[in-house]
Amino acid sequence: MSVDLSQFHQVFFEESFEGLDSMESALMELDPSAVDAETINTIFRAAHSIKGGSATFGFSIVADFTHVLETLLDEIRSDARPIRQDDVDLFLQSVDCLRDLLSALQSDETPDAEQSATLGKAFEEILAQDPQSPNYLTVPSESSPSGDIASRELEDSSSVKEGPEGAEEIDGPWRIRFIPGRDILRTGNEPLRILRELEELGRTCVTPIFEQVPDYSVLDPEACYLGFDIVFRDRISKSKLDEVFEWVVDESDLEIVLACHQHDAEDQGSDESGIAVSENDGWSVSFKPGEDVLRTGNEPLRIFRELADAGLRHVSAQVESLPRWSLLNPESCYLAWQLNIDAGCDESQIHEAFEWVVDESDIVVTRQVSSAKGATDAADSSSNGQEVDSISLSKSESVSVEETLESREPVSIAGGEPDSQVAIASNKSAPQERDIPKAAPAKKTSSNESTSIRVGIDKVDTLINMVGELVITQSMLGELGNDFDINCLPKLREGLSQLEQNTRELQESVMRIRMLPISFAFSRFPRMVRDLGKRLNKKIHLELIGEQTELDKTVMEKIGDPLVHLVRNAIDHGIEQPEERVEAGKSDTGMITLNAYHQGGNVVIEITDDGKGLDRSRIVAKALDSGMIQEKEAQSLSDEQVYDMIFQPGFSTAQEVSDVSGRGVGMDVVRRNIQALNGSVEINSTIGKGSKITIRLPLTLAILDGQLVRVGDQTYIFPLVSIVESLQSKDERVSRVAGGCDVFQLRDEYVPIIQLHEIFNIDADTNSLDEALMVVVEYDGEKVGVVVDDLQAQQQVVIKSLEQNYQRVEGISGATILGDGTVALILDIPGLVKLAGITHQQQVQLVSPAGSTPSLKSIA
Amino acid sequence: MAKILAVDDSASMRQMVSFTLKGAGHDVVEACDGVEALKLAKGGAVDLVISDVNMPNMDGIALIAELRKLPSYKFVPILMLTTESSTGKKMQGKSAGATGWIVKPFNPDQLLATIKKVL
Repeated sequence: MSVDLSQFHQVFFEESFEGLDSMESALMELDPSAVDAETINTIFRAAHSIKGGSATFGFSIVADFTHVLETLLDEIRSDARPIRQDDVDLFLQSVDCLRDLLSALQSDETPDAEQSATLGKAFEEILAQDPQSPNYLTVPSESSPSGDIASRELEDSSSVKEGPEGAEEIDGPWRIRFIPGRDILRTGNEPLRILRELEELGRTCVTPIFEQVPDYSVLDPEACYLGFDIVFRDRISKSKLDEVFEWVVDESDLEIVLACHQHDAEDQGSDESGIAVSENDGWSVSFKPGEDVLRTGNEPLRIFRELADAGLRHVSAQVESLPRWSLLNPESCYLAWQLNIDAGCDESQIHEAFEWVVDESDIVVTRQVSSAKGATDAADSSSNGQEVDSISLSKSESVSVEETLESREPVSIAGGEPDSQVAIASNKSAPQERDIPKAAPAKKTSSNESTSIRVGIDKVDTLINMVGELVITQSMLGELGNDFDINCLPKLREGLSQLEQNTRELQESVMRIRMLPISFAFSRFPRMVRDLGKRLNKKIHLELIGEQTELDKTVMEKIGDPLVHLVRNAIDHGIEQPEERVEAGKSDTGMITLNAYHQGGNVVIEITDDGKGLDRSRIVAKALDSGMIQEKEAQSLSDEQVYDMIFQPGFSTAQEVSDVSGRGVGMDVVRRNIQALNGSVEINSTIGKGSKITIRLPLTLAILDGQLVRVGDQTYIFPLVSIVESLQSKDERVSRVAGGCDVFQLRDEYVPIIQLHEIFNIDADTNSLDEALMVVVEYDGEKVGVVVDDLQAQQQVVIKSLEQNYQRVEGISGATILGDGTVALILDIPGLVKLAGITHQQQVQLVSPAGSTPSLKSIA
Repeated sequence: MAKILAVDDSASMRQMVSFTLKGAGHDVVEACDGVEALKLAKGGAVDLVISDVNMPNMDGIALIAELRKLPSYKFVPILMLTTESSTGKKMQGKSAGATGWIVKPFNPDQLLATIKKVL
């Protein structure tokens, strides 16, 4: 994995400048005659952080300079050297110097090394002086040898480490005797981890040394009694091996010597397994987890599940390590397992499965070969626990096993004595071979990613606040309910209204958590447009407007792909080649605008391009071609209807199928996706001028502010945001247009009327418009009057999907459950208009009084 | 994937460590000094602690010693970030119970290679 360190530079500069500021003020405060430890510490820490950061991020000039500075500060800090006023001045100078260096680096200039070099030299001179010398405090004088050594040591410590490594020859095999200190576990160092690391360097053969393991009764479970005799069979430099033991060498008994050839015998045992690669008939794994395996959160059964994918054939449990019941620790794992895995499995896969437990477990992976030799080997090496192995294996159809040295004795890291191991016939936890669910772990991670949400702390705080208030209201109401008489009624009302307010606020806060700025969806476009433009040789300018418009996260996630599709289409089909554009009298750079804004309870996203626009004749031709419409229909279709056809499955007018778009699988999917979000999509286009695709999406998918209305005995819900006004309808204001499409004169405009009871075919209270109420709703800038019997409460309703629970119904966007338990349907205004439009289509086109053309058109 | 507590008073180092570890799929909790780290460590178990040594309020060595006193951190690997000049610190850290160390400066790959040793 490569990480671009430059992304941290800005933070580093900022904090370094901050550090320098605090260093400066601390230095100003510093009184050499009475040094305050904390002040010195502050200065030291600032220098130390700058040094660490600059070295990490590759600003060696800063790192080198701060190193000397830090060294001196460290000596002062640890009282090894007093601080003098001159030093303080020098430190202050170096603060300025560092500031210059960092500013230069920040603005990508070459820093001036001269100043830092001079200062650095001055510090080195100070370091070279003997702080113990009687005249140190008074005379800033020449260097003395002893101080010199001290500074050398500090300076060179890194090169000392490097030195032998380069010089040393690669040799091997090695014999390592490693007796970890008793307390090694308490420092968090796990010997088996070290063994694992060795294994990564080359082939190893480990034999545990049990001599130190005491009797069970006196065994300290936190101490390490085991030793290891390791044969490292590959060639490697000794320093590499030293490095592995670096953290533990002080407290351990460690001996690394070149192995002589008498170890060949041992080598051979496992070497054979290396040769046998070609003839692997399967894997046999003996797995004895450390007793503490469960305490590390590793569950052997989970490992088996992982192996199930790799072709786990058989698992048998070995129970001989189970102690007497009285001694049994329920948190320990005493079982061992013998696993058989398909030959097709890669050895690395097996190791990977055991990766996390390999430290504390005894794991022997061997290839099973159907040669007689292996069988003899197994027989030869059989001793106490070994027999059990072969028995369990022969049961599992295996022919033979090759055993490596490690498994000669049953090894328990806790060092239990064989006597105390009482075999209890219990294999309750041995999993059966095929009932292991597959691929579960992999799936989990991917779903984890997509379900998390990053929420600003302020939003969470508000939420917690709200909940607090809710609890208060609840306890108040509870109190009231304990001892209620009618006099408390006003108080109850007050409490309930408070509860309502709390609930609403809480809900709003919760909703806000899910709201994200649409820039999350937009952010991918600049790059995409640039790349696509380059590929298609088109010049395109992308403009994003309203990136801060907030949208529900679920909606956001689902709108991404349709948007990509639409933008891609606009680039591929909409925007012309530069020459073409110039010919058409347009600028050679095409313009694509993504605009997002809130409109009522919706988020509107517009994708506008100034390309060639949709070509009606080509769409019609294509539709005729594919038999979607008939010749005679073609003439009567409105532009909208024609444009709408590109959303039909399998429709593409692209001359050639390009790799960008044009397979005709897109637009219908786009529309389906948007509709699934309760949204709508429509196209406006002018040939030669460009197209505009408007997507309308609900802000959220869960809750809606609704106006309840009654028609007959049915209750319907209007989304409150779509309502313009509600009024008493007057029959005299209604102009009856031929065919039943009536229009209502609403002040200066004519509004088409939809009779809800007609559309849903229910009995209304009255057919007379005089007695009914009219709800004027707005849809896409057009007003429509909906006639209902009665207006009821306004309330928030939780939207339940009709599609999921029943089926999609035209004109209905969902359902909800009211306070009294009945189901009410939520009206889908665009759908309603369409539904009414279908019935009145013919008439609408006939009657178009000049003033009301737009509103009438909207129901077409 | 492991849960790792990264402690450093320097935001850039912390970010670098955290970014690298997260990039490798680990869950990272950040603390800016020993006091905060100790509080976080008590709040929830972690699989590994990586701590700077020089920090305000409570330094890395004290943090290690405090952590080792907690029963649930008895065996948890704790690595300290040290500079090569502070060899004495390594020993101090060891005696406080540090598992190992990472020598500054290090790059992300070195960091990942090192933590692989203890996870």
